[in-house]
Parts: sequence; C-alpha cells; structure tokens
Amino acid sequence: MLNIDQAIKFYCVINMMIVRPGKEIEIVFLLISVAIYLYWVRRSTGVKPIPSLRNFPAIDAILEGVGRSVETNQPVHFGLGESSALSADQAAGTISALNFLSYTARACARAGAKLVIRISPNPHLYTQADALVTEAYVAEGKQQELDKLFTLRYHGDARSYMTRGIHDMDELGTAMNVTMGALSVETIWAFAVCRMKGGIGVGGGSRWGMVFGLAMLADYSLLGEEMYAASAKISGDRTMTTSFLGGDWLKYVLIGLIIIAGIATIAGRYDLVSWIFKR
Amino acid sequence: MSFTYKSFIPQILLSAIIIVVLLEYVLPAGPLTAVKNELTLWLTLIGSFTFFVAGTTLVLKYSRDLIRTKKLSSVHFYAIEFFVVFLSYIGISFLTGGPSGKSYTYLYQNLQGQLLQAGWVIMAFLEPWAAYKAFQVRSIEAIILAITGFTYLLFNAPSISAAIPIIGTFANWIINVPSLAGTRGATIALAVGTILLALRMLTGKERGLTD
Amino acid sequence: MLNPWEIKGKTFFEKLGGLHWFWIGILLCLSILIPTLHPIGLPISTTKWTEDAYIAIKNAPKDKVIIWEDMWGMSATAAAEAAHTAVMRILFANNKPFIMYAEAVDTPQLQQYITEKVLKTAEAQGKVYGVDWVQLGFIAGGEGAIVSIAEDIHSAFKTDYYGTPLDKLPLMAKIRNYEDVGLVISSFGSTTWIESSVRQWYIKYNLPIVSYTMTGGATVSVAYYPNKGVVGIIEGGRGGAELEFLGKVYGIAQSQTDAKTLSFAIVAVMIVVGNISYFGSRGKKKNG
Repeated sequence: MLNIDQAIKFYCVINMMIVRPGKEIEIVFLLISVAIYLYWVRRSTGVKPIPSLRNFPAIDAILEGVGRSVETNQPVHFGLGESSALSADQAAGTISALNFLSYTARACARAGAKLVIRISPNPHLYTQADALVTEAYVAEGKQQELDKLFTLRYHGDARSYMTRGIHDMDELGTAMNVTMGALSVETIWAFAVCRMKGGIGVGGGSRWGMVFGLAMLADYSLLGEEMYAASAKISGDRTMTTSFLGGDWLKYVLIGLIIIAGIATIAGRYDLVSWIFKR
Repeated sequence: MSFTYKSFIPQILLSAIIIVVLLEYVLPAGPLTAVKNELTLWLTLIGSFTFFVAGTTLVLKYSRDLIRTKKLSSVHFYAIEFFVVFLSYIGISFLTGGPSGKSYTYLYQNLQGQLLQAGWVIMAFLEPWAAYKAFQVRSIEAIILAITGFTYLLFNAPSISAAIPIIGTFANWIINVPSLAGTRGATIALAVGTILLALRMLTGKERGLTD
Repeated sequence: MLNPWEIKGKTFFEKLGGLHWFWIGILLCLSILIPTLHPIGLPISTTKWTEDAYIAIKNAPKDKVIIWEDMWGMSATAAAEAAHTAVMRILFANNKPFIMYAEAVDTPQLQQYITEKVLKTAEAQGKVYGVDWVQLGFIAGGEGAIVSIAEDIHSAFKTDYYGTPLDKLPLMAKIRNYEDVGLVISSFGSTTWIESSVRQWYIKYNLPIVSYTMTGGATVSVAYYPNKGVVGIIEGGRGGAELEFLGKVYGIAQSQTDAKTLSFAIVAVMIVVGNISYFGSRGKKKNG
C-alpha cells in the first residue's frame, strides 16, 4: 500500500506526464471553457428557448438614424475604425464592426438612404466591406442603387482616413455617424464633427483605451463587451448569442476564482494564491 | 451532396491548427512543440503573403476606379497617383539595393516620412478643437471622466507635475487603483471573448472568417 | 467651417464656445514652435516607472542579449525620436548588446533614421555593427512572430535588414532563442501591444519587459508593473526626457517637454473654456 507521500509523488509524476507543469489551473479553466461552450452550442441547436440578450438602444438608434437620413437627404457615415484589422486582439472587434456594417447597409438599402463607408487603412477590410455591402443590397433587391464609388471610400493611412472622413462628413452632411471596431483618435474627431453637423452619433469600441471618447461624445455607445453582445444580437445567429451567454458563465467562474484568491490573501494563505496563479 | 470547398478546406485547416496549438499548450514538451514552432514560422510566411494580397487588392480597386469612371474626376487623379507612387517605390527598391538602400531610404524618410508626420500635425488643429467643442460634462460619469482625464493630461505635461506635486500623487493613485482595476477587468473580459472566438473558429461557428 | 473670423453665438457665453478651430490650432502651434526654437528650460520630474526602466536596462545581464521589438512608425518620428535616441544611447553607454526587429512595415526606416543620428554621439564611438547591435528588419505575423523569434531567431530571420546573412554577424552567434535573452524592450506606438509581449515573453519564458509606449499607454502597461512582467515603463516623449535626464544623454527632449507642457496646458484651458460656455449658455436659457 502506498503511503500519503508516495501517493502524492505518484500523482505528480502521472500529472507531469499528462499535462505541462505549471499549467494545471489554466488547463482546468480551458476545459471548463470548452464544457460551457459545448453546453451552450447544444442549447442553441435545441428546441428549448434561450435567454435573450438585453436591448441595446444603440441598435434602435441606427434604424432611427437611417430614417433621419432619408428625411434630411444626408448620408449615413459608417467608420470601420482606423485601427481595425483581422488579426491579434483587434480581430474580435473588427468582426463585430463588420456585422454592424452589414446591418446598417441592409437598413440603408431597405430605406433608400445614402451610405458612406470609411474603410480602415487595411486593404483586407476593403474586400470584406465590398462583399458585405454588395450582399446587403442584393438581399434587399436594391443592387442597382448601390454606387460603390460613392459608398466605399478606402483611405491608405490613418491620417488620410481622418481628413477625408471629416471632409466627407462636412461636405455631404451627416444624418448619422456610426463608428465601430478598433478605434483610436476617431472616437474624438468623428463624433465631434457629427455633433457639429447635427447628426446622431452611434459608436462601439473594443479597444477600451479609447472608450472615454465614446462615453463623452457619442449619443449612443457600446463599450467593450457591449459591442460584441450587440453584434451577436443583430446577427440573429443563435450560436453567437449562446456563446455570449456562455461567456457570462465563464466570467462567473473567474469572479469566483478572484474571490477565492482575495479571501486566501486576506487569510494569509499566500501559498494557495501562488499555486493558483503560479507567480 | 455539394462540397463547399471555399469554406470547408479553410475550416479544416483552421481547426487542425487550433487543435495542434491547444494540445501543445496543454501537453508536456515533446514532438508537438516542433510542429507548433514550424506552424508559427508558416504563420509569419502567411503574414508576409498577405501584403502581396493587400497590394493586389489595391491595384484591382484603383484599376476598377479608372475603368468604371467615365467622366474625368478626382477619382482618376487618386487612382493615377496611387499607380505612380506604387510603381515608383517598387522600381526604386528593385533598382537601387532594396528598401535598406540609400535611394529608397532617402525617398521614404524625406517624402513619405514627412508627409506622414504632416498628417499628424493636422491633428494639432482638430483634436483640441474637438475636445473644446465636445468634452462637456453633462452627467456624473462625464464629470468623473473629466476630472481623471484632466489630471492625467496635466500629469503628462512634465513641468506642471513638477511644479504641482499633488497632481502627480493624484494621477498615480488614479493609474494604480481605479484605472488598474478597470484595465484588469477589461483584459479579463477581452480574454473570455477571445477564448470564445477561438472555440467558435475551432468548431466552424464563426461565420465572419471563412464565409 | 471655412471662415476663421466667424464666431458663432449671440451671448458672451455662446461666443466663448464658438471660436473657430483655426485660432485654437494657431495657439497650439505657437506654443509648440516657440519653445522648440528657444527652449525655456522648465523643470521636469521623473516617475518611478521610468527610473525602473532605466535601472532594468543598466542592470541587464552582461552575458545575454537585449531584444528590442519595435512597432513605432515613421509617422510618429516626432514623438518617438527623443526616447528612441535616449534608449539607444543608454544601451551603447552601458555596453549592452542588443538586437532590434520591427513589427510594423515602416519601423525599419525609423530605426535606420535613429541609428544614423545616434552613431554621431559620444556613446556610439567604438561601437561596431554586428558586434554591439544588429538591426533585423520587419517580420510579419504580429504576436505569432514573437513565438518564432523566441523559439529560434535564426529560423525567423535569415538575414539582417541590410541583407547580410546572420552567420556573418558575430552578435547573432550569441543568441539562438529566448534562453539567450536577458531583457525585452517592447516599444509600440499604441497602448495595448504590451499585452501581447507579456503573453509571449513573460508568461511563457519569464523574461522581464521594459514597456516603451505612447503617451497615455502607461495606463495599460501599469497592469503588469512592477512584478507581472513589466519591470519599467517609458511613456512617450515625457519618458524620453526622463531617460535623457537619468542617463545623462541630453538631446532634443528638453525643448519637447517645454512644448508639451505649454500645449497640454492650452488644451486643458480650452476644455475648461468650452465647459464654461456650455454651462453659461444653459444657465441663460433656463433663466431667459
């Protein structure tokens, strides 16, 4: 029979053969993430109703802005974010922005509103935007009304993105400015000019460092995760919505871990805290 | 049965690569580490290739602009300007020793570099004016933002924080307490979103990427 | 928007908020131009995180190489020049061998520009390219590129930026992978890249990082400072000025700090004026 010490040693050896040393907590968390995700994906394909995401005023504001655009004959300006890219930590925000672009384009096509899209200084997004806008207008049966030269405006550099964007908003008028994605200083100039022209400002940013601009200057803002959630809501995709709900469960797990670590720190159990965080 | 090769093959590749990287992360160091290292090298190759794709996209875009626009307008001008600059840089680079060569470096630093910086100068006119017009404290949240933003702005003016040390103390408190908490919360939320994005990519549920 | 003489508004408070952007811009340009041409010599204070960054560079292990990953571009030369020059001069002054590579396409040009300037300084006398420093050039792939470099730098790069094969550079013989790296300087003209550096360099390989970020970027870097990967922070032009003072490698930063102080003060004043106008106009509307 093994005694306790031998049993612990045996467990550690087996553990080291199966998992990378020092990564136990991360692996457990990863497995929990996968389990939660699979549970919610299964729920999304089932018959049982899924909890709905709350309403976001920004989504309604987009439709309101499109209506305003038709009334005032001024275009809707959509900025994809001057730092957006389909790589690294900007990918999630950029994909959400593209969802919003599709939603706004369809609304504009349906209502007959003019649409001007400021495309990020990233050529890959040009093809994405082109495809999405074309798809939106085709879906509404308004392909002939799409003028790509007017609508799709590509700028090769962040500064020309800004100067041309301001010029377009000033010259053409602004019924609404929607700016989504990985934002930088655009949160300041786009909404300041939009406000000056009397337009509705709707913004969403994944780069939380520029969130202050949205909070102060946009009429309707989606800060950080709200943008992802709203993007899931407008996509109408059950899997997107359920994965988002799964994300909330993951956050509860993390909050639990933080509370445990906090109590352990207060109780002086630093060994437990360093075992959890391995630092 | 239809075979949607345009989305099926990229999805299979994506899922396979994610599984390899995940398993390598989880399992002890072994043969998978060499596979993962090779894959990341290929990632840099693909990353470099995307510049070629980007260049092609731009050439096609501006070619279409030239062909489709019947009436002479600024669209033609911008398209011609693009081709002149694009071909000039490529030509100079090929003929005079590459991007690290003297001619290319001279052209880039003294033309492109100055133009890029001039673009930033325009912000000197626009950003403060935008702040002056629009940074209005209309709510409690805006007041809090204004106070903290103001403090950090003055903290970053080096002489003001030297002359008024309390600004530095308050700014350090803002950075190390409320801002730090917010940063960590935002990072955790971003991490959760990224994990879910990766799992959606792995299982083919992320339409935005392969559709 | 075109008539700079036009001041919108009827009442005093409305006119206070109706200044044309042209005048604000002119005021700012003067506040930058005058101290740049004629430095005033306003005092500056140093921050703890810049002092720690300087100490980390000075105390980097002598038998290992410093990796400098850079994402600043030519468009930010005015902002980056002071700190880039100061960092390079301090590395030379303390005889720390370092390798630079770029994560953005126009960073190599900036590195070349800075290097040409620094080579004329006293700290660079006697320094030999390939022995004391190497410039590797641009690598695509973002965070994935860090993995390639950390695992095997000779696979990630075959030649340096000038086309010289790596086996012809003596410094490159001393570095194979992360085990030969003593410190990482992560410089980026944004705020959030530090998270990628921490994920790859610190979490995986336990390497200390000096974060060299743009103005305002310290708010993100500080999440990992001082003992979660980031051992010091250099924040934009201010950080450059502090480094010049700490390392006694005086350069252009002094005039820049004067210009920064004046211009930031003017922006702060304009925000206050804008709010006075807003509240004054609102008060008038309520009463009238």
